[in-house]
Amino acid sequence: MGVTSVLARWASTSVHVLIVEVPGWDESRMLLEAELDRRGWRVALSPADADLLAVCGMPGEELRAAFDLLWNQLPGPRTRVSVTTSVALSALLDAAVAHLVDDSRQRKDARARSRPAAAEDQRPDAGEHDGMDHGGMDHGGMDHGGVDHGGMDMPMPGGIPLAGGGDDRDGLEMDVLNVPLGPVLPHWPAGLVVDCVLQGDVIVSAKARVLEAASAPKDEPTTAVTDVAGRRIIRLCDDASNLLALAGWQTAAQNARRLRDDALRGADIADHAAALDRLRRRVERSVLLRWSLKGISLKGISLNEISLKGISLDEIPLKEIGLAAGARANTGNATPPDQATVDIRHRLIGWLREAAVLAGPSSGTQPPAASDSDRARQAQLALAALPELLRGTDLGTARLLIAGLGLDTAALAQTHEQTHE
Amino acid sequence: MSEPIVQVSPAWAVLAPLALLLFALAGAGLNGALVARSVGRPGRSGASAPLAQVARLLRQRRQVTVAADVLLWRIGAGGLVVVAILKILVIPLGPWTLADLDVGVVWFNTMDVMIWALFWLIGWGANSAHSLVGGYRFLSLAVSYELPLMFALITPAVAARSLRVGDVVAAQHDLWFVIWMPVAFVIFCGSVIAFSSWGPFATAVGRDIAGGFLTDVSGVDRLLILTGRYAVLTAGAAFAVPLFLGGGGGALLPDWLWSIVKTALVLAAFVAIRHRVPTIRPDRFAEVAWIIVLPAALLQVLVVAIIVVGS
Amino acid sequence: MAAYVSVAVILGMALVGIGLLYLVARATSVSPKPLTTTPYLSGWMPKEHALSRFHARWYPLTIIFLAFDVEMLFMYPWAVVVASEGPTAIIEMFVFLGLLMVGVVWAWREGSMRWV
Repeated sequence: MGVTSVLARWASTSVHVLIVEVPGWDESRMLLEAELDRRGWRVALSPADADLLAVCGMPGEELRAAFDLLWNQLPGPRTRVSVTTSVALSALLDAAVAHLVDDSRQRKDARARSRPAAAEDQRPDAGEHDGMDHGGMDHGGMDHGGVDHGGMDMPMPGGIPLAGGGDDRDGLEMDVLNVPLGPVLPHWPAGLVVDCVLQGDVIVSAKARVLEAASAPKDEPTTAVTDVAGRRIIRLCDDASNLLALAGWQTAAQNARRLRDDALRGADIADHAAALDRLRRRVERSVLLRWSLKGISLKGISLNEISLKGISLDEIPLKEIGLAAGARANTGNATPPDQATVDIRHRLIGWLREAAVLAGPSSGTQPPAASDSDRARQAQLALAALPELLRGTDLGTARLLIAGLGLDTAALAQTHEQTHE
Repeated sequence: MSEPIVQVSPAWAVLAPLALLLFALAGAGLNGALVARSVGRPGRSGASAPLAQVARLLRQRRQVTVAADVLLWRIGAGGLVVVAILKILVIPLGPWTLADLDVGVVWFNTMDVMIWALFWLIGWGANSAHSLVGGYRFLSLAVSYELPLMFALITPAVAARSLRVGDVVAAQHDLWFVIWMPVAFVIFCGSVIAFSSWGPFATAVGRDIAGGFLTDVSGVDRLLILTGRYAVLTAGAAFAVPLFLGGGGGALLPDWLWSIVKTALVLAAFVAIRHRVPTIRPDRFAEVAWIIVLPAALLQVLVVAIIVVGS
Repeated sequence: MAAYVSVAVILGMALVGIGLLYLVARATSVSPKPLTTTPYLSGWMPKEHALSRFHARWYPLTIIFLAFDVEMLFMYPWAVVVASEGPTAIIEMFVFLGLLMVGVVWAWREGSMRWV
């Protein structure tokens, strides 16, 4: 066949996938991620890098609009799949490949969309959303009588206005940008949107809300894991993996993810605890990580309210179950329990320790199952605390903080209307 | 180390870019193998990943963002490969070099400063918030790594009493510079990783900003940038050889082969470190770079200068 | 002179190579015409252009960098002659560098290397 089909075949051995997750459907996402690893596919960080848009779950209206916009941003060859069950996952992805390598179909698709997305995209929620966010900072630029922006008749190249100014913390006038973070970003809590006002890469102010799913997954277990402890381990590993990835430590993040996938498959429990503990020690020992995360903490958040209803450190009989006798001396006693949860690094280590204990042989330590209303309340408090937490931080720190919260957006999506100022 | 460095006819210049690209491809292959291993697949399956990636990007449609600064954007994208190729011009392969400039060390330095502009242009051109943050992040890192790098480059020149790369190699006839200027060597390697926006210094393309200056680049433009990053990393690894590792000097093997082997080893080390350490954030790094690394580089120059004057 | 011929040859090759690559990509990509799209903003339309006066909070550092960078002009020729000039060259240069470092340390104590 021709050159193009050869290229298409080669290209299809490593498809780049933009994964978008609907709150409550994290299990679909995790199963998909595990499948991608098996196939040697890669997760795309942005639509420009993606061939395949994988929607995990049933999005609500606003989420669907965001996903559709992203779909428009895939350069092509492109295809999309909707992952709502693990059953036909492999067949689904095989079909996606067939779609991607079909050259004539992809060329037709490319020809069909030569018009810019900016012109054609009218977001259904545009009016409402505008009303919410445009009030203050960005158009405040207009009343500085602009040397470079001429007030109301400012030029609008591409139909988009120029940035307006605003005073920074030193009283310098600098342009501000409205940059929404989420609902789709790598390693981001599903459905979370943080509308940020940025100066440079510093967040001047932020508002957080959660976009809803159209429906929650049906309550039938899709994996082997049904017990509370198992689910908690999976969640802890997932959170830890995301935080490690955002800290730029790929091997450790990958390690956490594989342990998560093992748990998801229901792997041998004893091995698992030891592996989790090894990872925990590795994270604890890393001088570079300690330095890199130093001083990044969830201050200002009432910890008693927010700390998840797992097991507190003091209740864990570490020695009894034969796990790292020195561990407690390293972090447990050296730092007061408050700080142990407030500091991002300690939180990360705490997650891994808790996961290791839960996976340990003395499975008598079943965590009390948090009720739905409890989980929702905790997530709500975290969401409410976000704006204050993020103010004045740079984007990198902000991402670490949000990952460190371990926000359970699924719990929130079950109640509704969560807009916080 | 037997033969002196000779300058070869410009006709050979045709081969240099090919050699560079082959090295870059090998580096990408190693990276692919390591990534495959980390997800539990056989390393062999990952080694061909770069080829799949090239095919993918050649097939992918290019994109421009609304009201982008396309000219500057593309200059940034294409420039990386050009800069890397110009860098290897002064790097000898065994006894042969394409351009034995009497300011070879400065030439390399000039080219790596060009990278500042190129990465920033890529970040700026896209008219995209993540991309812009990425471009500026690189600059904030660059003001920290560049001075230590310059002093690390100057150290072998002090010992060789010349800025000519051929003289630097010749001066290592008895003893490789890495032995008595280890600090400069380490700083040089770190800076190469930094100016390639690689490994722990890859904050400008970080996951926290959705790929930074790569966010909105697709198709052949992306291919050029990714190739360019590998190419500057390779050029940096190759320059460590004449500067610190005795050029083509070594037992048994011919000089040219030693150059290749040493370059491959340094490059492999750079690639291997990529995912193994957490990110070093520019704002954390600045203090360390200026208050610890820079004085260390200065002390290294001082020690070398004293030894050279004393001998 | 041959060295600079090599420079020209290699530069020409690089540019031609890039041009060829673009030609190849025109043929092999699913569309020769670039897609015009809005920048990636997590699934939202941009409210304004990103190109703006970016608040580079590390600007004091750039000034210090410039001061030190200009010094490199002296460093290159110094590196070549220091062996023949002897101890005076070392003392002079390192007194100068020491003064610059004092400035750097002062700026550090003033907090110009912390911006987050």
